[in-house]
Amino acid sequence: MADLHKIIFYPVGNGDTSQIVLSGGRRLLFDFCHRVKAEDLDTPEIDLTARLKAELKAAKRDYFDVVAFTHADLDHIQGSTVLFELQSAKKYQGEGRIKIRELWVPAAMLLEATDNDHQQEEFVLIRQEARYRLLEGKNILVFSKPKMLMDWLVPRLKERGESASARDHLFVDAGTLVPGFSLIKDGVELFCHSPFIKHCDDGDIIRNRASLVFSVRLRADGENYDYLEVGDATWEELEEIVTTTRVHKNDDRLNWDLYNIPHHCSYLALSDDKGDTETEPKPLIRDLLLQGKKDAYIVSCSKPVTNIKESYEQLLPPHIQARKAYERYLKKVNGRKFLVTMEEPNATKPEPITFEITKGGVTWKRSTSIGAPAIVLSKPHRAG
Amino acid sequence: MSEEYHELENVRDLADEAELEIPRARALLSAIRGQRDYKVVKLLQYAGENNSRIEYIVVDVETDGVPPKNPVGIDYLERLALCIPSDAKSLVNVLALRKAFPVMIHQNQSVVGEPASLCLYFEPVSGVLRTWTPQNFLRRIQWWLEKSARGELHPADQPVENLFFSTRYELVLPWNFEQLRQIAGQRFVILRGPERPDQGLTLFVEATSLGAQVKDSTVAYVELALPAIVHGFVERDPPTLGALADILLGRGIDLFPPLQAVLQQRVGQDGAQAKTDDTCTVILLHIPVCRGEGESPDRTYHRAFFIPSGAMKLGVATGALFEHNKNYYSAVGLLNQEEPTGWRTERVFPMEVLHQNSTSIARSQSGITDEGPSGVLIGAGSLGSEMLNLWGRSGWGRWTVIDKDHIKPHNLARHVAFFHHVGELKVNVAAELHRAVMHGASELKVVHGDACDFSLVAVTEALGGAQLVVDASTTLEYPRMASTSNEVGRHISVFLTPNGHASVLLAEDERRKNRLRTLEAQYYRALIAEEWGRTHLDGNLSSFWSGASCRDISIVMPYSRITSHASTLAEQVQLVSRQPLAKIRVWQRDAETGAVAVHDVAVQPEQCHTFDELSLYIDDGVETCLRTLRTASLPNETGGVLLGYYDFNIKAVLVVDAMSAPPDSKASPQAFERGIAGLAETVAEASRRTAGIVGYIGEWHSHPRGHSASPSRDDFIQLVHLALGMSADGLPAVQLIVGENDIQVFQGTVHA
Repeated sequence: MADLHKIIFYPVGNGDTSQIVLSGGRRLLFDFCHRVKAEDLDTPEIDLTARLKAELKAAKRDYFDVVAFTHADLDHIQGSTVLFELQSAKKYQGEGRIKIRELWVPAAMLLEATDNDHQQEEFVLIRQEARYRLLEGKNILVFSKPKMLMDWLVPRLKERGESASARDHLFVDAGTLVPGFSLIKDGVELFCHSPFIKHCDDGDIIRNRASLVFSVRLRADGENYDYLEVGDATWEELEEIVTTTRVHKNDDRLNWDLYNIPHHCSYLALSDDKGDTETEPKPLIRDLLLQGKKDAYIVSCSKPVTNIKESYEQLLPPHIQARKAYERYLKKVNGRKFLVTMEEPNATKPEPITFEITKGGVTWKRSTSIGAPAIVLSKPHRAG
Repeated sequence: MSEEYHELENVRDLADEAELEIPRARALLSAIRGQRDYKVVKLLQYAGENNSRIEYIVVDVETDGVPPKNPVGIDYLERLALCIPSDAKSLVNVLALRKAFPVMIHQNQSVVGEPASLCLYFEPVSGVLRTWTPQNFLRRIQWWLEKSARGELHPADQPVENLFFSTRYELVLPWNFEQLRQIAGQRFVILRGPERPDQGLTLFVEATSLGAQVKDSTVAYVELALPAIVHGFVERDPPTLGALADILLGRGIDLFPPLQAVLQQRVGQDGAQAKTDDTCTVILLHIPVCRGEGESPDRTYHRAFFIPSGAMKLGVATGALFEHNKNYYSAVGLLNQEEPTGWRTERVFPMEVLHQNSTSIARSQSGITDEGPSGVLIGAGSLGSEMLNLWGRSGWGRWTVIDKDHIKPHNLARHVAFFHHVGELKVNVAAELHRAVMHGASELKVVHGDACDFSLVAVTEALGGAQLVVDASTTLEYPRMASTSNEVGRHISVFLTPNGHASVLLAEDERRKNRLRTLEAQYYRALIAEEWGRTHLDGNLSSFWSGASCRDISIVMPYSRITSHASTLAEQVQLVSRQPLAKIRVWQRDAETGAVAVHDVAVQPEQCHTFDELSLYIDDGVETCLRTLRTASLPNETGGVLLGYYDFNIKAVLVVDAMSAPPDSKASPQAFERGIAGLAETVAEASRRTAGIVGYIGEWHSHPRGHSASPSRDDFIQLVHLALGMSADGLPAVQLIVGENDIQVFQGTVHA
């Protein structure tokens, strides 16, 4: 059988959820954004929980091999404590819950302080889960190893009678490959670009600035293709990634055949200046965009990015000026299409965007929901 | 990197869409505007004769399903010309304009140097137009590009060989062409079939014996072997002989000398006259194909070209011949000849190269996976000849057919034979028809004679060498005979019932533990017991003819009933012969609706009780029945009538069934006296259902608890009485006793 990996982006509004399904069957979910209102058929957003459960059922599984929360913003974790089984609390275990074989979180997620008003918020539960797994010493990887986290961890290890270095194998530093996956065995390797340690040691943790960024290299029958998976990141952080990666001569890890752009097509991932009609990317961001390969795709996990007059005044992402910049650079590198999760195949009832990675490269598997099949999939207008 | 594109000729640019005249072009343009993957580049128009128009919409299309690194060489963005003819009954043609667009199968044949025309549909035009919309047409283009780029457009088991083209000319190769070519000095000739009204022609390559004279009616042809190519290589066909010669020269082959030599051979030393049927010349290329560069070829494919010029005319054009007084002479040795050039512009047409079916190809076309047995078929009558026809065409089995009859005029209503076969042996007719289909790819062997006559060497040799014998004879003679022989292979009997509404298959098990003899008896038991048996053999002629006739088909029956059952039986024999177990299966067809019901009868092992005169055969089904009846009556004895039949030819009596005690019987733990109520009717009905074959053969009774089947004094007396009674018919009587653990059978015969 020929190798066939899939990367799927789910239409969850201005939010992130994507999945890598490896040819061998292993599944890596990046972020989770299920909004309760999406359970209503009339909303364009997908009922993510139902969808993922159905996919797993079809694959005869009740778990993901990896669930990575790139950072703790609500639009990246929303609804996760309803779907997933938490090892840390009985209340979140049992029938129908999806297991996470390995949880990936940035170190910041274990540290972030909360006030009492937000104790029940989902990220507290996720933080507890991450802390629990780290203390138990299994089923987790923590990205970056800041001093603050070690200050918290080491005394607790001591209480358990374990050495200060007993959990070192569960930490992954930026600039290294994530353990547990290999090109030869799994057809994939994940190179960690972020977070850098200094993000957390500043003391003031800004979530976006400590989010996970990976260069995912997929191999299909001997050919490699690169997928740049960025959680939310600003242009400053992306420039830092470019600089650091170059210093370490890992330039090839900035190539992309597929780019999941940050923060719902916000101009802030390109520059601090939105621009009137088009954002002008900062120099290093421009370099990053130019590392796109021929036939590459860009995906924006966001609401539709429309080119109408009002869009230019819009404060919140997605920003049309940013889209135009991305599209211009995509054209420069002979790329293919700029796709928006909430636009495909239509904005009324979008469906997940699926890419297939085979020996021949990255192809977008178009929805067949056109014409009659689209009507069958949607509720028709009420008849009189 | 800027791409180079073909420019269309004889067209004018249209300034805007308002100039489009053809409604379909406007509809297509409007659909393109609503499709983000398509961008209009320009609009063109070609003005033909009689106001005919072709309008062109040149578009750039993006196809996301095209893999970036596809080995075929299709790009994400392709420039296409959509050519809309004013004739609404023609399809919109699609031309790929990029000069580097790959040459592939599923392109219509087009001339070298011109844009490739994509072959989007597999159905005929009218079928496509039935559901054609601009929107689904645009998606079809993308589908074609994606599937072609992924190499999924043609079924994987079909070799990529040639472009789609429509040609009137066909060349049929023998089934074993490759083997024949290996025979040193083997010669081939090309024979022509009749010309069709559209001037189309089918020509045949035939092997001919060494040294045979070239027949006058054969066509001049040149055979060339090319160097090996790698699988998947395709190229366009040249429009002229000159272009063909150039292509061949590019592959290191000079077409010219062998072509000249062939043309000169045909006139010989003394010259020859032009003949009226000398109108074409054929070039046949053998091209070995290997899977990868540098590997050895694993097969050869063939391409052929048709030149619509006869050998004489072409001879002159090539300078091989010269004409003098309407005679043609070889130009060999002629001095001061000008370099001939006329031949270069001779038109050549690609021929579709077809292969005669070999048996293995016939099988794969029929979806049959096994070669089938080396088999003997008994009976080349209505059913047998039809099954041979079905098996022969599908390449299943290697058959010998045995039959002693010949064709009579009335047979034609229900036989594969033709009128000119009247008077011929049925076996020879079957063989001739087989040859007419398979043309030597397989042979049908024949034995003329009575299959029951084991003194015939041909019969015993055929039977002895067969893995499978299918009995399609219409009498009981052969199957019962064959059951007595240990020197033959597995047997399957097939027959139709007299009215043709039902058919029956009786199959011995692989090891012949259950032979046709007992299968027949068990089939009768099912007829007596089951509801479907009530009318199964209706229409038999037993009341008029002596002898068993349940397999004699009556005079009145359409051939359709035979072929309908023959089709079922032909498939079922294939199926059952692959399974090791014995089988009794009956198909009953409803005369009104044509619905077919199938009935399986469980096969029971047979036991033999040997006596001086007649051996008695009984199967476990009867025994089970007897034991059940005995147990149900305990502590009393019970009993009843035994049904069966005699066959003095094979010296056997067959027990078919045991009846339960009639209601007026008297039973105690010590004795049983069989009553008579309803018995005559029951026996008569059993006989009626089995076409008069099954009847009364004797009595059975049980012994009480703790007793063996050893006969008592009373039992002997009964046997004597039975024997005396049966002697009136000249038959022995059978007495059967069921004990606690055993069964004993006795025969009583009155000797004069």
